[in-house]
Amino acid sequence: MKESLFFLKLHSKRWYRFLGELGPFRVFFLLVLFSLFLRFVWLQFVDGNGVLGLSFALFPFVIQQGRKDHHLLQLASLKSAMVYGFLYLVISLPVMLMFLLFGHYYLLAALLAVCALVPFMPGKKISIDHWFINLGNFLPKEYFEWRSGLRQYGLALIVLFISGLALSVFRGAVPVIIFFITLNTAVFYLHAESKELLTAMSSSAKGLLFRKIKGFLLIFYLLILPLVLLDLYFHPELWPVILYVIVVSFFAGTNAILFKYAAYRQGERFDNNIAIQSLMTAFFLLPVLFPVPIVMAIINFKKSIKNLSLYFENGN
Amino acid sequence: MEIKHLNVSYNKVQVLHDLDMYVQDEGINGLVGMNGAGKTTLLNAIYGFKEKMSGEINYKGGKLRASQIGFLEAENFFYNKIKGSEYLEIFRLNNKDFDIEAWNEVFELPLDQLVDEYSTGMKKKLALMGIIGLDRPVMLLDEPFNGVDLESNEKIKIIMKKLKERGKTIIVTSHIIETLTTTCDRISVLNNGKIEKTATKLHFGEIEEYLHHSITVGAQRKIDKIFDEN
Repeated sequence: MKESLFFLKLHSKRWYRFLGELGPFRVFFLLVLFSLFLRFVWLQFVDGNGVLGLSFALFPFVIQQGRKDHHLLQLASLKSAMVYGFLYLVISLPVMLMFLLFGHYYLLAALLAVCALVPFMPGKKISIDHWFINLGNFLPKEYFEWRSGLRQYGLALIVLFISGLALSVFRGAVPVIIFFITLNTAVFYLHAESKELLTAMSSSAKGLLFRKIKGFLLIFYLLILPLVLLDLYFHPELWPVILYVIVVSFFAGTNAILFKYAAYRQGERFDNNIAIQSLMTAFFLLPVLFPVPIVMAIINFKKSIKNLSLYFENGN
Repeated sequence: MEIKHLNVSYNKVQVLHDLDMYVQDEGINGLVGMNGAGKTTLLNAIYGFKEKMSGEINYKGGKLRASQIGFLEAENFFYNKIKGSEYLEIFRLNNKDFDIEAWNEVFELPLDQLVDEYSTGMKKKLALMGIIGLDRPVMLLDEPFNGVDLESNEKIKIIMKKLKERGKTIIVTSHIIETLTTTCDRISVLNNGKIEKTATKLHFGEIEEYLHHSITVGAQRKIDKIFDEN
């Protein structure tokens, strides 16, 4: 318990630093947007919509896949499953309370089971070294972000995809799964490649950005195609929802790429992009905030062109 | 290539002072100097990395552009969790003549392994192969001999000579004068942000003598003093 609290404190400090880097104005803006999002979630619960409960159950799963502190816990001789389980319980507590309040007892049990079982999932190290090294080999080599991403987050993507196939008979399950697949694949673009890779792919900044965005959309839409078709087969009346999700994933993927190149410096990792992308995607759930990711895409496209101009046109 | 009145500041400290340098086109140009002399800063400025700079860098009648340069930095970047072969394949997109298999017969890298598992020397060789694949007319090589074994050192020297024959303009930095005297057409000594001396092949002896006097003799005197006093 003491160790778990220590790690909770450690994670809180990390978030505190992240918010500190964003600055007070942006934090306030994000808090307002996040409150609006939470209100939307609350209203969904009031309407008796349980699908969102399912999506929250996936959070610990996605977090577990991205963990890098297995080794640290080993060094400290701590039982990682217990520490992680405690953290996931704390994260899920508000949702669990909502479940309890609105009588979704079966979802509460499912979320508790996820929090208890997910910590036992194998860490990233095993997935990279043994299982997923050749997962992306069928992809053309220019999509190196996907090859790299599949090696790191392949397990999460496979589980999400299979869950999507299995749950497609349920109304609304596929859009939620696609939402998570979108976030999972946007993470592939967090790392800034070497300037040589950058310039070897295109002779202009604009050309590079279009190539990257086109590549992402091509593979992403091929990946979700079976899910989309199944959803349309089982729930043809929900075609506007799936269309909406496709539009959302277009902007989520595009923003992930543009955010990276707007701040590109070779070798850097843009970990803060995960949080920003999650919020950006969540904005699409609120009609009033729908334009935000679109405006951000336009702004970041211009920023990216300016930032990359050094590598394509010398500023000497 | 001609560098005129180059001034570069870094964190409000001026690193290069009104630097003038003539670089022999289609030749190997060595740059030697102590740690902190400004060698990497000069290469960064030539590439265009430095924002706070003034001066001119001209190449074949026009301004030198980054798109004309292949820059092997002292620290090498790739992409996490990609294999060596995947890294090199990207360079084949715009250069179909880049023969990865043939080049790897020279460098003997485990291209099927993830780059993250490579040693420093292996990473250096992979990065150099990438620069060769880029096939740019100007090549900046920052300490290419650091961290690589003796055999690879010799291979890099041979490759540099062959690239020169193919018309590449090469600027190479090193701490070790011997690695430069055996490969370069021209060597410049950089000290305190200025080119202190330049010599062509026939006069490399002067450079060695100059370095001997300015560095070795001075150091010898200081070390002798410590040992004599204790």
